[in-house]
Amino acid sequence: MNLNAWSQRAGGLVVDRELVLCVLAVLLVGIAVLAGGIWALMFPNNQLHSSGRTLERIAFRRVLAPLTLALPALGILLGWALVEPAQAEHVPVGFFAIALPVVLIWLRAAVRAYRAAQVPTIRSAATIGLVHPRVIVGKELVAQLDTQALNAAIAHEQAHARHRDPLRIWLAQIATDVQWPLPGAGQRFTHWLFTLELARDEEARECNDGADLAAAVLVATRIEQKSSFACAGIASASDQMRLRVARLLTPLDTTTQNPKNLKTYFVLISLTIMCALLLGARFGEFLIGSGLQWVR
Amino acid sequence: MQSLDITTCVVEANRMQAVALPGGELEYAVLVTLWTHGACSGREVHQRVGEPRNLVYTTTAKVLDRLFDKKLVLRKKLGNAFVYRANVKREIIEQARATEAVTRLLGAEPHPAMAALVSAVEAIDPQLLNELERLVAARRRPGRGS
Repeated sequence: MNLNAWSQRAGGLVVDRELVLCVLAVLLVGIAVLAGGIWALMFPNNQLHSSGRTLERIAFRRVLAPLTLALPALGILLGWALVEPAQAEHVPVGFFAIALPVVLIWLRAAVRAYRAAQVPTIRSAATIGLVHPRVIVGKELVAQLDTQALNAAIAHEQAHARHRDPLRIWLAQIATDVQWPLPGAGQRFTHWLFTLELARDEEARECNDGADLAAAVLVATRIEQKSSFACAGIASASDQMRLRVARLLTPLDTTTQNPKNLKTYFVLISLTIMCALLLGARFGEFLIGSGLQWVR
Repeated sequence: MQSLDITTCVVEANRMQAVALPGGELEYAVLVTLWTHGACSGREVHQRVGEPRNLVYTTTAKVLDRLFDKKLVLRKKLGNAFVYRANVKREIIEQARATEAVTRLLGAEPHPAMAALVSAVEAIDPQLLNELERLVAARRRPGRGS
């Protein structure tokens, strides 16, 4: 039974096949992302690595990991769409109602993405700019730091700029928001933000003393605490500050654990998408038709 | 690959003032009265806001005191009574109220798209900062102070 025949039996709205495919894409991707978020809850945050950069890479991949389940879902849908014959004519209203919660979650994520792009006033130091990152240093911070501490702070921010961290933070926030209301997503995001600072501290320390950077961090904290627009506090902020300064005052660990090769990930993802396309083309009629039958 | 042009800018910190919102329907109603009718005495505000709500004069007076503390209204003594007028434009309050309503709907503020040297500073214990500052100062090489 193809979609056209099923739709005619069920009755309902007259819609184009492309709209049905779009709604199916929203529904399947949304469910896959939420399922990925639940799956990621089984893996706690990794605290074993001494290298901040390794910690950051692992944490960033955990932030994005739930979205990878959306790839096979999209692949199956695309494979099915390639072989699906005639235009759909009748689709039950319930089909669109099921996709509505996902649409609302994505709308919320879109609004928050817009708000996140509005950068607040900076009093200490930060890197801003999604497309062209640039370092901003407040005059108050410049006035209170000596040359060595200021250089260390600027080196830290320049490391953020090299890695385009404002864009990565923005994308990670979106990836977190599409998993709303799962609580684990926010925790993984917050943990990654902390490891991000540890990683950039390490890069800054390649040419600067850790104690100088620690002094800059503490002065910046004092300055930001006076600000009306300081970010909302988190429960473990004191613990994180203590850990961060302790790491800055200990000798830099130059033995970095090699992360998994990125090429391996790309190959795996490509193979997954290809298999999903074939699966969708061969069995999409059965898989998706059964799901729509359930809606009826 | 195009090289990344990293520029560093030193900026003056703008001292932006957060807008205090009227805390409740009554405070908002008083502000609306002042925006509509201009400067009013406490008694006039009570006649327009308190009496339709069957409130006593002291309640209205307390509301005006709260608004004065929040710097949302100004007052000037004329004889034995105060005359009040709004200290903030209606558009600003309306925008702030709308933003607050949206915030309640969308949850906590998203993390801004920027990488700051420090973040989440409000919850950091000030005594911890003192302790860490002493530790760092002792560790830094002699001859350089902060």
